[in-house]
Amino acid sequence: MIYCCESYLPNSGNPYLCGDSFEPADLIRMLDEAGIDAALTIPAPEAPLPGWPPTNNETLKEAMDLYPSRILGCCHVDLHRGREAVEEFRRAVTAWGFKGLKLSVAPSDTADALARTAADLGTPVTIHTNGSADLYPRIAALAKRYPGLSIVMEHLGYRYHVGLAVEIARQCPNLYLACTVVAPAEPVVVRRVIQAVGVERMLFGSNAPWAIPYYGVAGIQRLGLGREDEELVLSGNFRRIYRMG
Amino acid sequence: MRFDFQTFLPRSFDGRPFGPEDLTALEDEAGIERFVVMPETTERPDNAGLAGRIQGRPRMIGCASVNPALGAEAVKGFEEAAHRFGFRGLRLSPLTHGYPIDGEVARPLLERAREMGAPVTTESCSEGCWPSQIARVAGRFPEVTIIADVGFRPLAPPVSLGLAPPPEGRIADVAREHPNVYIGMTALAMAETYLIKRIVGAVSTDKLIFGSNAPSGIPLFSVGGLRRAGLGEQAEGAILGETLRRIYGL
Repeated sequence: MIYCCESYLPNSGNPYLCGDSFEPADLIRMLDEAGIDAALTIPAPEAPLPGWPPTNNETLKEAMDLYPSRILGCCHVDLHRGREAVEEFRRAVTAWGFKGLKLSVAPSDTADALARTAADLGTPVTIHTNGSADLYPRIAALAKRYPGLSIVMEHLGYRYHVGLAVEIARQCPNLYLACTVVAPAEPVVVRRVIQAVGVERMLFGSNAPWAIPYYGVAGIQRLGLGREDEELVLSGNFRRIYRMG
Repeated sequence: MRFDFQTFLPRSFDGRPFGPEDLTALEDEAGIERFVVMPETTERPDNAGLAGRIQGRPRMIGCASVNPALGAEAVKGFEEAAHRFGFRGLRLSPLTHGYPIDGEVARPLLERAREMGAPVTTESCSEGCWPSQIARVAGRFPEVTIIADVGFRPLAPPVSLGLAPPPEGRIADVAREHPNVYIGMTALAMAETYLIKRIVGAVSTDKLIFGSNAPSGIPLFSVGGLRRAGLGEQAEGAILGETLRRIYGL
């Protein structure tokens, strides 16, 4: 089994036919090519090309209904909507069966309310990491504020702040690292992070359809981690954190 | 000809000794004929050691890596690498070495690169080397060819979306506005193939250059990612080697 902890469902902009429409079936095709059984999938409200409407949680729910065992919902809400955003997240989890929340750590009462709700619901959150170094203290503060909340750091700080991501993961046992993009780009970095924080903290993410899942899986397999550790990265850790049974 | 703008030759890699044969095997796997090789980016990159290890290997083109914080020693190291070892380019690592590429500390090296006609490869899109800083350097040294290794997330996606640029600038804008700036794709090609399409919407394909970042990056994946972008034979040829061949005068 292979589980991906980060895929997206845009309406357009897939790597093969950028600008043409993108359907849930296209995502499934990309997952199939890589042998991925299921992917935690996020709407793409900021990614469409001009002329294409953004996707949202309802779009994603429709895709989940089409592919119930393949596409797992990860809620994305607009922080500007305040209390409504929190309610939409709660509904997505309790009524629609979403498994996760994409969370911003921008200073915001709504972001904090979302984190609190996620902790109450036992729903893991994923946070994008990249670029600026000042992001990491904010993630660590969030993890310490909600020690029962599982937080997955997408991209594990790649490219230039992997050390910071590792440092805060060492401080906070509820922080996990997703090797999204890093697995195909620099697989050796994934190994180094595993050595630093332990294999049970690493999850596989593909970033489909922006990236090519096939190369992500191939990057992990190329590391030669051994059967047990590879299984944890590609499947076991996800199933444990997201309570997949 | 497939030509890789950025590879490294550390003495050990991933817990094992690593040599020129290992690097060559990685490039062979992807059908890459020639590759620019840089020493590991340490406080004092070992250009002399690299020269000894790539000697007699014509597929490998040496590129000097120096730390401008070392002052005159850095300039001397660059000159020695070029004149004594026949290295063809200069690698700057503003983020790793902790200096602003547009600051005074890097100026003597850029002046020497201009005098020698050496292409400069640099980290970009992060602290010390944001696109706006690369633009300042490109403006001051229009005769110096700059290859900006954009790594991952090159601050380029909004170009095709008509959104306002971020304060740090966008490397695609810099490459479009400065004839001497090229976008070097390393992590990008296989990790975020869609961005290639978006960058191509903003700059012509002859401003894009392929690099693998081997041995950390897997050349086979990089070439595969790039080819999946489906840019056509001519554009692919330019990105995979022709443009770099021209820059290095091979």
